[in-house]
Order: sequence, then structure tokens, then C-alpha cells
Amino acid sequence: MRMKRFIEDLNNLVGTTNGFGNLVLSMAERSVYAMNNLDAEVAKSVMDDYAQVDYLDGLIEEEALRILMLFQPMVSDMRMVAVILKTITYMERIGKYCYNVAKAVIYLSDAGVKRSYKNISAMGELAVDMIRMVTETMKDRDITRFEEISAKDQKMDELRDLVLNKSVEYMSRDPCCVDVCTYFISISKFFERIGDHACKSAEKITYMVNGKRVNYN
Amino acid sequence: MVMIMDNVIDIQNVNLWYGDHQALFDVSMPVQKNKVTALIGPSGCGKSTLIRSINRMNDLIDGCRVEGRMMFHGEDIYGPGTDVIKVRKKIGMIFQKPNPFPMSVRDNITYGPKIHGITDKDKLEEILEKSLREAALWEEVKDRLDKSAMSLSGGQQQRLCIARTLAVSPEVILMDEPTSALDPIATSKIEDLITELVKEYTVVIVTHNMQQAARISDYTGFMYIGEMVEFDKTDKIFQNPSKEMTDRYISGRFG
Repeated sequence: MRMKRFIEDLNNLVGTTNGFGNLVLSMAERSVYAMNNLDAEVAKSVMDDYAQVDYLDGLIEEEALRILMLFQPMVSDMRMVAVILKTITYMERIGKYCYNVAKAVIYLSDAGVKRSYKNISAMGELAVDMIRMVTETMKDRDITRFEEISAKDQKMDELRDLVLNKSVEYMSRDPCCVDVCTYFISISKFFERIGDHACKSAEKITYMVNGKRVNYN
Repeated sequence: MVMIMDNVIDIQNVNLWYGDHQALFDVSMPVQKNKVTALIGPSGCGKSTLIRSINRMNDLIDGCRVEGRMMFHGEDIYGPGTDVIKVRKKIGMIFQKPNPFPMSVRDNITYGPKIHGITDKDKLEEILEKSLREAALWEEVKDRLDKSAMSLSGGQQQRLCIARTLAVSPEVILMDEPTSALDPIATSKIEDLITELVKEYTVVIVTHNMQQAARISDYTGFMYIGEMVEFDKTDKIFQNPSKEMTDRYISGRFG
């Protein structure tokens, strides 16, 4: 009976965590779309969803702690609950960065900006890819997917440097575009941070799957 | 395992039968000096049989037969010239249910040393206090040494049994589910005590409490139907065991 309840509760926890991952992935996809198209409406929907991220983060944490208290999970179950507790924090942060991207998009759209940088779009695509790697692996435990995550993270860092250098160049040429460029720099920083959090999540999920500590950063 | 020289006890390919029934199959396990080695596994898996065979408690059971080598400091515990009394003096044992003798606290402790030939009163008093202090019981019983041991609480009785074992200067202490009859506070006192004892002694413990094994032991052996399924460092066994079956047992999937 105790075991049956434990397995049910654990499955529910995993289910809610996967739902949380799907929500964050969807926010990332929409924030990238909003940025590419300077679409304030879509950006607004991302910002609205953050409340749900905050709620789920708290809910999952509470549920995981309840499972720890009631069942004291061991070995692979313990790794799973511990990794869920860590990963939701990374996912919540990713959700917050999507929110920040969306907020910046609304500002840019209001400022009459019509198109984004190509390199920022590429960063957005990378961010979505990396989050998808994490959410998919959380479901099917196929950690071979993470073989590419370090390379993607490195690419992300290179693109951020390019965006920064280019923006500085624009700003020094035309001080009028300082505010717009500052927002673009911020967006590139948000995507770069999303990449870092995705890498940390991937490290934890690898530990959940095979008990081994790895470093993807 | 890691340092062969540090093994106080080395169990090598031991098979054990109770009459026609084979209870242990080719079991091997090292016991390292000044470490706690835990044995876990479902009821009937042979862990109590194994621990009892270390100080030849199974000799008392009719039809019990042991094959293989069970080395204590390089000498076979089952060798022809082995002094069983000496083995049991050097390798003491604590059981699930506290079993003090129906006599005073003092007599419980001094009984063993007297049997082994110590008659000097001062020496016996010294052993009495030292053993009770080591068992973290002295402060609780120093004013009632002549009261019956049966008047102590369950947890105190168990610590008294540990003190009684310490009184004959053992090297190894075997504990067969020493806390399963005790409440959580008494259990935690015994666990603290084991952590202290292992600085001077070597401990082998059988327990059904997974968290207890994880908390107090350095090495853990998982047994199933008479076989040693997996033996490794405790952290490894409880975080990432090599065998799927170990994971399934510890996480409560069976057993």
C-alpha cells in the first residue's frame, strides 16, 4: 500500500514537472517568435504565463518535500526527487528570462523597431533547442541528446559577444540608438543565461539517469 | 577491497548449510578495521546467518556446516586449532532484543572479565567504569550500579549489552538488528554510539533500516537468497548501485 502510494505520488510529481517543462518551452518558443516578429501581443502572452511558472515552481517544491518527508526515497528514486528539486529552480529562472525577453520586445515594438538582429534570432533558436533537449530528456531519459549541449552553449557565448560588439559599434556611431541597442544587449544576455541554466539542468538530469556527475558548461 | 592489509575479517567463498538446506552461497566479503560494515537484504536472505557465522554462533545449531574460508587476522575462524572461546571474546555480539543477565548492572559488566580470569577488584571496577563510559551509559547508571539490569529502559539495556561486550576487550562487534526493538531516541543514541565505537573497534551490523545503514556504515553488502549481490562503499550502494536489484530492494520495490 505504502509503495503503491509512493509510486503514484512520484509519477504525479514527474508528470507535473514535465508539464512545467512544457510550459517553459512554450514560453521560450513564443518569446523567440515575438522577438523575431516584434509581436507585442505574443510577448504579452509570455509575460502573463510567468505567474503560472511561479505557481508550479512552488507547487512542485512542496510536493517533492512532502514525498521526502513521507517516503524517504532511496537510490534512483532519491536521485529523481533531488534532481526535480534542482531542475525546477533552473526552469523557473528560464521562465523569468523568457518573461524579460518578452518585456524587452514590448519596449522595442513600442519604440517602433521593425526587425531584430540575425544573431539574436540565432541565439533564440539555440535557447529553444537547449530547453527542448532538457524537457525531452526529462521524459525519455535519453541522455545521449546532451552530447551536443556544450557546443550549443559555446555557440551561444560567441553570438552574445558578436551582438555586444555590433551594438557597441552602432551606439558609438549613432547615440540615438543607445536605448534600443541596450535592450538588444539585454536580450542577448537573457538568452545566454537560458543556455547556462539549460546546461546545468542537463548535468542534473544526467545524474538522475546514471548517477554520474558531469560538466556541460 | 581497497587495502587488503586493513581487513580484520576476510570472508572468502563461504557456503553454509543447515542440514540439507543451503543458506549461504559462495559469499565473500572483507571487513575493514575501524569501519562499520552493514549487511542489508530481505528477511531470510542469509545476513543474520552470515554475521552469526563470523563468531561461530551457528556452531550451536545442529546440522550446521560451513565451507570456505573465514579469516580473522589471517587465521581461519573455522580452522582445526581455533579456540572458539577466544574467537567469541575477540568478536562480540549484540542481538535484536536486549538480553542483559538477570543480575545487577555491575555484575553484568564484570561477568565476562571474571570468567576470563580477572579477579582484582580495582581492575574490575576500572573495567566497569570504562566499559559503561564507552557505551555512553555511565552517567545514567553510575548511581544504580547495584540495581537490577532489568530495571533499565530498553535502550539502556541495549547499551548495557554493548558495555558488557566491551568489557572483555573485543576487536570486532557484531550487531544483529540492534535497534529494531528500540524507540527513535534510543535508536539514535545507539547510532551515535556506533559512530564513536568505530574509532576503537570494528563493527559489522545487520539492519532492516535502510536509512540507518546509509547513515552509519562505511561499507554495505546487499544479500539476496543466500548470495552477496553487491558489496561496495555505502555512498555508492545508496546513491548509484551497480546492480539493478540493489536499487530495487533499497528503494522498496521488493523485499
